[in-house]
Amino acid sequence: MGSIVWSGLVDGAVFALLALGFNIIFSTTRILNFAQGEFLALGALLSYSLTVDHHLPVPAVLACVVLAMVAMGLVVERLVVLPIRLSGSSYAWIIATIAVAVTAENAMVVPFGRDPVRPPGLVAGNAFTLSGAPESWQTVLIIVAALVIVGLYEAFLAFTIYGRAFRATAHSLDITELMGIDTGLVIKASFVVSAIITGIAGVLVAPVTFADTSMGLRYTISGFVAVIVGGMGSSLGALVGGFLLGLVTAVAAVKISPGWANVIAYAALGLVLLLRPNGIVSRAAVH
Amino acid sequence: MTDGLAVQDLWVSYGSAQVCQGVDLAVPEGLVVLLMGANGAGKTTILRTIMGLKRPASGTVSLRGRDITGWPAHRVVRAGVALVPEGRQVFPEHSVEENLRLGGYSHRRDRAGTRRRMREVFELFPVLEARRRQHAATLSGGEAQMLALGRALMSRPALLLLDEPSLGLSPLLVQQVFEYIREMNRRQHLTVLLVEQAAAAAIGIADHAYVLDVGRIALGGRASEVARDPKVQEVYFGASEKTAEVRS
Amino acid sequence: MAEMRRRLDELRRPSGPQQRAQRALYAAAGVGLVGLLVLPLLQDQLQVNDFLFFFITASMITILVTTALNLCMGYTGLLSIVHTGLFGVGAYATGILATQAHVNTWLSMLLGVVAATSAGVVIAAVSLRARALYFGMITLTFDLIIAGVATNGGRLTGADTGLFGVPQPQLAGNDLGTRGFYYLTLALTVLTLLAVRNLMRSRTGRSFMAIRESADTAAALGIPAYSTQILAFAVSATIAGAAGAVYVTLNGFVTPQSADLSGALILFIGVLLGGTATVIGPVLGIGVIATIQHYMEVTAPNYQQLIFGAVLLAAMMLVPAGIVGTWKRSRLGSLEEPEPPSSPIGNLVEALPAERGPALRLTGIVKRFGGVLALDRVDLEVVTGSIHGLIGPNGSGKSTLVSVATAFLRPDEGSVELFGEPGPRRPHLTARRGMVRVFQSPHIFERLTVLENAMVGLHLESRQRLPASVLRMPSFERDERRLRGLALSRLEEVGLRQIAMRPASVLSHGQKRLLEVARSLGARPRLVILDEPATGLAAHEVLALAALLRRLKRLGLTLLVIEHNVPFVMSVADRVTVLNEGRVLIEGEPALVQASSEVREAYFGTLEAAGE
Repeated sequence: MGSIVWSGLVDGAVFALLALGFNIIFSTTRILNFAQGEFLALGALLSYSLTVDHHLPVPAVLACVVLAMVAMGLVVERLVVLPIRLSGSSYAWIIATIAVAVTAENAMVVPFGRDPVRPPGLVAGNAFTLSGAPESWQTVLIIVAALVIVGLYEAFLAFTIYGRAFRATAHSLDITELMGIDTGLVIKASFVVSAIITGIAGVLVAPVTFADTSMGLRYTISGFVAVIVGGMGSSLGALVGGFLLGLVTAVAAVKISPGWANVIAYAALGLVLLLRPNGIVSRAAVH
Repeated sequence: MTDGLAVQDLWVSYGSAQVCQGVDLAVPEGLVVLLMGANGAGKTTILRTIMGLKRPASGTVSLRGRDITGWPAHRVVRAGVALVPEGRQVFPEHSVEENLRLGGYSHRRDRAGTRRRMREVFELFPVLEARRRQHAATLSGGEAQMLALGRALMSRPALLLLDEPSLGLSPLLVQQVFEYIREMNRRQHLTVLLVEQAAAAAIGIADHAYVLDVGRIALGGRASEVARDPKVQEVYFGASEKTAEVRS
Repeated sequence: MAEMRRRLDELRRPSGPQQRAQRALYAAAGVGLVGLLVLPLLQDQLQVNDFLFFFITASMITILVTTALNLCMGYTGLLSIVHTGLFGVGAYATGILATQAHVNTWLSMLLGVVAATSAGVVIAAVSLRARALYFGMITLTFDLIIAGVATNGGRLTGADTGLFGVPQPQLAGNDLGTRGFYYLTLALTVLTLLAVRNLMRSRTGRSFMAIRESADTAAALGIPAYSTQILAFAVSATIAGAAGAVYVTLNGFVTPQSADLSGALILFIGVLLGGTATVIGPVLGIGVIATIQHYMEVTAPNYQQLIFGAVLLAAMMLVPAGIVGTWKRSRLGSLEEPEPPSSPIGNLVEALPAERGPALRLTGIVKRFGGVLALDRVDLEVVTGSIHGLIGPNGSGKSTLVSVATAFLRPDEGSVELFGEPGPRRPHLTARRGMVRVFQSPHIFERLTVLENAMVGLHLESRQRLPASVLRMPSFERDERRLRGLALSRLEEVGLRQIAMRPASVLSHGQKRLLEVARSLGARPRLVILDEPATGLAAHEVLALAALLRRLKRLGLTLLVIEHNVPFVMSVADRVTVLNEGRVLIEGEPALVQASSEVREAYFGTLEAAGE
């Protein structure tokens, strides 16, 4: 049981980072980015390519991934925000983000191919054993990193003027502009920050799972469910939703059947939504 | 005119509705100018267009002789204009102090200056200092209005635009707010463009006044002259005359 | 029939370029349809292979699902991400019944549709606990569950590989075959499009659109938002399920991928590229997309998805309004619907029985928001047949009081009595009880025409039933004509008859106000609450409004007017109540109220000082 819970927590930590990524873009733009998982896929695939094919050391890999994420965040922002602004339709974001997801997924096939790959862990060796199963340092790193990143982001929001500007933008674009804040820049920044966090989640998760170009959509859906259940717009909600989804799926996979695990998790979390339609940690009503 | 704010032949539309139809307006430096008109006459639209929150179909907005038409709002703010929007619109989940700091965003690198400015705001509105760590959502209507004023002052504007500052305030508070505005105008040589439905109370502190009627300037000039205009008397101060008749 | 004759007359009349363009379009559509009908007969002459028929049939199935999504998303404003799932329910239910229970294939298809409809009702009923985006997200969870069940259903659903060996339906002892399916799908598509068109031009369709524009306003006019949204979703699920039933019998198989999210993209594109909330939009959108996709499958199979995604993004930026929307905005496409025929004009308001006592009585109303006391033991009595003015400074609680009276807010203490009985409990019940509210800022259904707006107001008046509306039965035509007559008479009364066919969004502020008054009369109210009706009106419009209010009063209506414009209230009201800081300051005849020194102090404040 111990190892089941642990693997649930590890998955949950990745879902939580994705959920946080969703939240960041959602808070400034009211867009749920269907291409969110593609950041993770690029991070995972790039880290494999840089580590295994180009033999770069870990810090250099991380630096390259961050740079790639800055670029991808800026490109996705243009591809999503421009069509929405031009079309003026309240549903344009759905197509724009799905189209970006489809494009990104297929563009990644060109350099990376379709075969699943698995890079070595950023840290090597096993940390401890739980009910007979060895648990790697990499899994510890994933959980710690998720908690630290969420904590850092919350501190950024609470204690820096730029964090205040982020929160202000989430409240109202117009009023934030009246403060002399360039909200266009804030939105760009939110895409970049969200991409970096999600890309790092990809680097972290690649060694414990297999990375391939189709992983983006799978993680998009898991992140979605986590953010919906946790409650939109709250970092605590991202953690709660992520870990809950990870745990329920892991337990259901072992106790019932691996195939039904996702269905059961979604159904269980659907029940949670019935009781709290705006998520467990609901902040403000979503319109 | 090179000083102050000048609006020339401004046309603004929402969809197919022409909200401003050739508005001309001047706010000379150091004066308090009142813009009055019925609800829906286009007053808020004019302020939003000056601020760059709304693009005009045609016409120009210039500040101290510089054409600022079509500038994004954050640039207009950096050029020294601040707007206190209708309904106050403080950030409810930010504390009072955070609201003020956001107001001073343009000068965020000048920490000492921001601190000094905040002290001045607290001197003007001591109640804000008492509530400095509270969420703005917990403030009363009057306190929120003071916070909105203070927040606007934090950007160190040369020109302050006020949209219906009396909205939702008791008459006593309204008077107080107008006194603050007058005081800020005198003390800091702040130029003010005031949009107000409660024209009767506001005209007392105005130097110049304009009357907006369905997208057009119907009348403009010295406040005292505008107030004496028979038509203005009838439309804006009509109730008082009738009251006077009934009383006599 | 009458409408068709009118249309034909329209077409015969000589006309400008817009009419000619429209005629050309109708002709092109007719030619296209005839072409599709005779294509199989000319197969040999034209040397087309069977694949083309298969391709067209598959595209029409996608058009059906897209039409279903458009009904939800475009017309009713419900963001659904479960339509591939509903399609899957139809397909799987049909397939399972036909292969495992060996039910006759036609019957299986029918039952498959029923299954999809039932699933739709359940999903909507649950998801409607949330609104807007969250509604969409909950439907997405359902989609994941449906796809998950299909993947893990073992032998029942065929698991990962899908359900195979679904038999074709029989026609005269033979399998339906490629051509048979072609005609079946064509018939189904054409009938569905006609049904949607008819539906959207009936009371039910208008209530869908009204809810999309504003659920609160629709409720105020007597439309029950919850059940109407479920109805829309159910109709939509039925169409999606039918598409699924045809799909599975045509192909003989269905896989979990058919039900999951990956298929949803093309549906959204179909709706948005074609034009949301238009009947023909999905046809054009899917037509274009399917052709591009088909062409790329042939020319660039490896980069198909990549190019596809890029084309989509480009299309979003190039035709943001969709094909139909762009056409309608163009010079040639901007043809106004013809003025409706002069129907018999009904009475503005039926003579009301003489009543005694108060129309509305509020007693001891207390309302708090958090710690703020918005209303503090407010009493208000509106005498039947009178115009009652309610004035007070901003923030004095006027709007809150009206919200309490109309059941939008529940009072913390106190009671509401309407015509001697306890007040309604839910907003949409107020209209049934004879009370309607005209909102502070005009709550017009912007994307409906002026006439449609007035007709939504007649929701409670209408006796249309859904099947009769879709089939255009004589009973529907009669009722629709009557409604149109009533609506036009109301528009005539407020002077908007001439622009009845314009979209409401182009009206001036004052015209919207008048339209809202006209619309509110549709529910045959006995009491009309007007929230700041004179706001934003030009001087001559205010005079017209005052005259209209007096006329309504003479017809026996009771009016409660909340206003800022004091001279206006004083000129029309029989009695006036002044509210200040959540309390009644004074109540009485206008002259008396104006003379009160308290009122002057609270309301007119520093006026005297300024007057000099």
